[in-house]
Amino acid sequence: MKVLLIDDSERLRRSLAVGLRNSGFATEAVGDGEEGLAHARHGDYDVVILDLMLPKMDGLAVLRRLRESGSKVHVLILSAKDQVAERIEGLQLGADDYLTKPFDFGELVARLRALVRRKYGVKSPLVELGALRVDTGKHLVARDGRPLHLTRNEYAILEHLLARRGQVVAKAELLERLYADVGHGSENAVEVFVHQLRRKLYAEGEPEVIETRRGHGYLIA
Amino acid sequence: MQPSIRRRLLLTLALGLVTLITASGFVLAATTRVRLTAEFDAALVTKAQAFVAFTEQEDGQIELDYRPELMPEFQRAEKPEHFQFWLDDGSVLLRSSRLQGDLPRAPGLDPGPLLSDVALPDGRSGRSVQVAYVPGRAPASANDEDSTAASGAAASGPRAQRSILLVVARGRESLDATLGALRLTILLVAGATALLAALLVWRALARGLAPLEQIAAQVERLGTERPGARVLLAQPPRELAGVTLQINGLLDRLEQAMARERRFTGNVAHELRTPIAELRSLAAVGARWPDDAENNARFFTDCQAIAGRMEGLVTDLLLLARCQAGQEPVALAPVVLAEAARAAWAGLAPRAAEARLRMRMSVPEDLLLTSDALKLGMLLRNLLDNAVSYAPAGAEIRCTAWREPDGTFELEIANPAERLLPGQLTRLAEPFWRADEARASADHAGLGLALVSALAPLIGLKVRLAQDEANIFRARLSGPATPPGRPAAEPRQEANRPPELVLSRPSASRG
Repeated sequence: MKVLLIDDSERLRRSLAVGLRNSGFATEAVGDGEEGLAHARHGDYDVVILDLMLPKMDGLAVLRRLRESGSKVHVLILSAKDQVAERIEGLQLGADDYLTKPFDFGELVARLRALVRRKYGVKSPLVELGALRVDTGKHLVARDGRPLHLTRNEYAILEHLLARRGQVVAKAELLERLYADVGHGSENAVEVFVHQLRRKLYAEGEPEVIETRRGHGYLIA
Repeated sequence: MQPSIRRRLLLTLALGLVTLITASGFVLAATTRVRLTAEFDAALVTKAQAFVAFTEQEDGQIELDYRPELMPEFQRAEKPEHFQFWLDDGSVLLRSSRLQGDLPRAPGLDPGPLLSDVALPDGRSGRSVQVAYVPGRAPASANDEDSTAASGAAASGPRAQRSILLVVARGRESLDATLGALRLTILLVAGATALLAALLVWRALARGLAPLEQIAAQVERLGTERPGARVLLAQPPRELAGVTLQINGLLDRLEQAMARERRFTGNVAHELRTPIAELRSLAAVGARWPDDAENNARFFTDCQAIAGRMEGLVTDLLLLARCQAGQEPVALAPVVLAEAARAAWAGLAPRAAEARLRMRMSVPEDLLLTSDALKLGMLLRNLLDNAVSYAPAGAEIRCTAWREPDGTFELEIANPAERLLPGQLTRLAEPFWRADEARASADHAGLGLALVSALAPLIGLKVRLAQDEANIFRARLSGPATPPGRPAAEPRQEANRPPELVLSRPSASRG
C-alpha cells in the first residue's frame, strides 16, 4: 500500500513515516501544500494523508485542486481542526475520511487500511485462498491455521496482489509499494521478494498462489 | 410587582385627563349656572319693570294698568308666578290671584332691584326681585277705563306721592331643571370623554410602545437566529433610534469579543493539539517498534523539543494572564535603553544571521529609563523577534531611539514585511493570532505582540503598531525618559492599568 503524508510538522512526519512503513505502507512525506499537490497528482498513491493548515497552500486548496484535476486518490484529512463544520467542509470537498489531531496511531492505520480496501472494492479484511488465510487487518498470514512469517516487503507484495486480485500487477507497481526504497529500476528486487513469497506460500499438492504473466507482471487469481 | 411603563403612563394620563375634565366640568357648570341665573333674574327684573311701568299715581291715587290676560304666568294653576305690591305704609296694594299669603320681602324701601332666593308661600323654592319706587303721573289714555284700579288708598284732594314696594317671584324649577340637565350632561360627557381618552391613551401607548416590544422580541430571538442578526425596526421612532443603535453596537462588540474568544480557544486548541499529536505519534510508534534504536533515539530528542515548546507556551500564557490581571509584580529601576536593546537582540542574532537579516541599531547610550529591566527586555525581545520572524530574507531591521523635547523617548523597530490584509492590524495583539494561517512556524505561537501589549502598560510604556505604503512594519515604543544628568525618577507602579496598544492604521502586519 502506498501512502503520501502531507503535514507541516517535521516531527510528526518523521514518526508517522516510520510507523506507517513499519505497518506495511510505502510512505512518502512532504511538508507543504504545493509539494504535496505535485506529489499527489503524479504519484500512484493508495491514500493521501492531508493536513489542513499547511504552508504555501492550505490543505483544502490542495484537496480542491486535486479533485479538479480528476484525481480519484483516497484522501484522509488529518487535522487539528475539530469543528463539525470543518469536517463537513473537508468531506464535501472530496475527502474520504477525517481524523482529528491528536489521534491514535492504530486508528490511523486501521482507517488507512479501510480506505485501501474501499479503493479495491474489498469489504472484508479476511481473504482465503484454499488453505491459505490472510488477515489484512492484522497483517497475519496462515496456512491450515499455522502462521506464516513474512517479511514486510513480502507481505506488502501479497497484500497488493490480493487487493488487485484477478488483475495482473506490473513489477513497477509492486516496487512502489515495497517497505523500503530499493531504488528505481530495481525490479529484480521484486522478483526476489516474489520468489521468497512463493516459497513460503507453497504447499504440497496445491497450485501456485501467485501466477506469473511473463512480460506483464504477477497475478493472484 | 414589576413596574410597567404602559400602566404608569396610562394611570398618569388618565388621572390627569379626569382631573382636567372634572375641573372643566365644574367651571362650565358654575359659569352656566351664573349665566342662567342671571338670565332668569333678568326676566324677573323685566317683569318687575313692566309692573313699574304699569303703575301710575296721581294725587296719591295709585293706578295699576295690569291686564291679567297679557301675563298668564300669574294666572295659571300650575306653578304660577307671583307678584305683590305694598304701599309705603305696609298695606298690601295688590297681589297676584294665585298668591296665597305674602311673598317674602326685605325691610325698607330699597329701590333695588333686590334679587334673592326665596321660599314661596306654596312651598316651592323660588327667586324674587324686589323694587321700591314712586309711581309717576299717568298721561291721559283712552284705555284708562280698562285698567285695573288697584288702589284702596286713593283719597280725594292733593296728596303726597306714595311709594310702592313690589316683589315679583317665580318658582325656580325650570332653572334647577336646566341646571340639573346641564350638570348631568357635563357629567356624562366628562365620563365618556375620560373613557374615550383612556382608550385612546391605551391604544396610543400600545402603538407607541410597540417598537420597544419589537426590540425585546428581536433581542430574544437573537440568540437563536443566524450570527450577525441585528435589531431592525421597519419604521423606528426617532426616540428609539439611539436605543437600537446602542443595542446593535453592543451586539457588534459582543460578536467581536466572541469571535476573539473562539479564535483564542481555537488557536489554543491547535497550539496544544499539534504538539500532543506529535507526542502521541512519537510515543505510539516508538512503543510499537521498541527495537528500532536509531529512530527511537531521535524520537526522544523530538519529545524533548516538543516538551520545551509546550513549556514555553504555557509560561507565556501564564505571564500573559498575570499581566492582564495586574498580578505581575514590577520592579522599577534605572535602565540604559541601549543596553536593553542590545541584550534583546543578542538572543535573536543567530536566527537573524540564518535569514541573512541585518540589524541597524541606533539607540543613544545616555538614554536612561526608569523601568523593569526584565520586562522591558522581554518586551524588546518580542518586538525584535516579531521583526526577525516576518522580515524577508536579506532585509534590514532598524532599531532607532531618540529623546523627545518633552522629556519622553521613542524607540522604533522597523522592518519590511508582507502586506497585512485589511483588518489584520487590529488583530496583531490577539493571543495566538498569526498572519500565517498554516501556523507553520514552530519557533513561536503568536503570543509575542499579545505579551508586548500586556507588558507595556505595566512599565508605563505605550506601543503603537503601523504599516506604511512601502510595507514597512513599524513597532514604536514610547514613554517617559529620565532627564540627562539626573538620577532615575521615583518608580511609578502601574500594575493595574489595562493593556494599551495603539494601532495607527486599519491595515497592517502580523503577530
